[in-house]
Amino acid sequence: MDMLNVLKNESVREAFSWATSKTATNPQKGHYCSSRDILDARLEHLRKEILLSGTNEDTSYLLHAILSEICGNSFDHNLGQWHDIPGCLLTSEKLDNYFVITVADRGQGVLKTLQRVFPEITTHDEALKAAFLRHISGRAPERRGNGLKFVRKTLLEDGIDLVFTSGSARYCIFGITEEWSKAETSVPGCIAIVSFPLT
Amino acid sequence: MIIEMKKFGSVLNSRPAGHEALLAISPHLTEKKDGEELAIDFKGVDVLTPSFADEFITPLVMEHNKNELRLTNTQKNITVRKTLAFLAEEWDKKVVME
Repeated sequence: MDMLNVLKNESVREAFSWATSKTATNPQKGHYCSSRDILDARLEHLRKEILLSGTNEDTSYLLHAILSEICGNSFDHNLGQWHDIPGCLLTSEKLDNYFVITVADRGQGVLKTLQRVFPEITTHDEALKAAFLRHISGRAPERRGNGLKFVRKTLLEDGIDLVFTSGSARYCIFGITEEWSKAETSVPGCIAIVSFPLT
Repeated sequence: MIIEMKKFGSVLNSRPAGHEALLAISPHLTEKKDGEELAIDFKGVDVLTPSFADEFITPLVMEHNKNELRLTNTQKNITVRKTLAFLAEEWDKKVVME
């Protein structure tokens, strides 16, 4: 599934609409994770959904780990800094041949988070590249900054696709190909779309 | 001394949880005799993430000599295997993983 088709999916559009609207709207209860406890329960439920879709156990555990890292960032880096609604939205959609999972938040976004510690980073593109490629963290001097590097490495190894948007920057993995580009719609926080083929 | 990771849960996936787990186990580590081996057993763990492991495993790796520490049952679960291999690239010592 190419990027244009991923972005057209209903669950993805719902997440984009919620994360980018100027005024806060109440998210759908079944998809909204207001706390880590709710997130953990939803991730476990989602892993079972993925297994039921015919995906093997290893991939379901890997997806659980990857989504934990992405969603964990929403909480770790935005604590006390939310624009309005805390937490993240976690939606999923099973299509004919694909499973699509979307994580969205109304947080500070990658650039603002990293700029607090690394003022030399000035653009969304630089910030996204730093987040995925360098071992740096917006919560220095804590020992952090591994999560998205692990996500990138694992997705590239295991053939799982990703579209990650923050601000005006977008990072995509399709198969083993990576692409850094400008997003059509700016996202104040972060939106990550993880998709994989059903066998 | 053996730490059974499954006693902290089958899903080990956040920094706060890793930090809490280390705080909880720390008093017991004082019972370990000088030179006694510390084995960290991952049997029964379904999900391990770098966030949790960096808060729990990395400090234990830093505090122990390489011949005092052993990570066991690390190869069965894919997230345990990948997370430990990923973090080991940053550890300043080689740790036995089996």
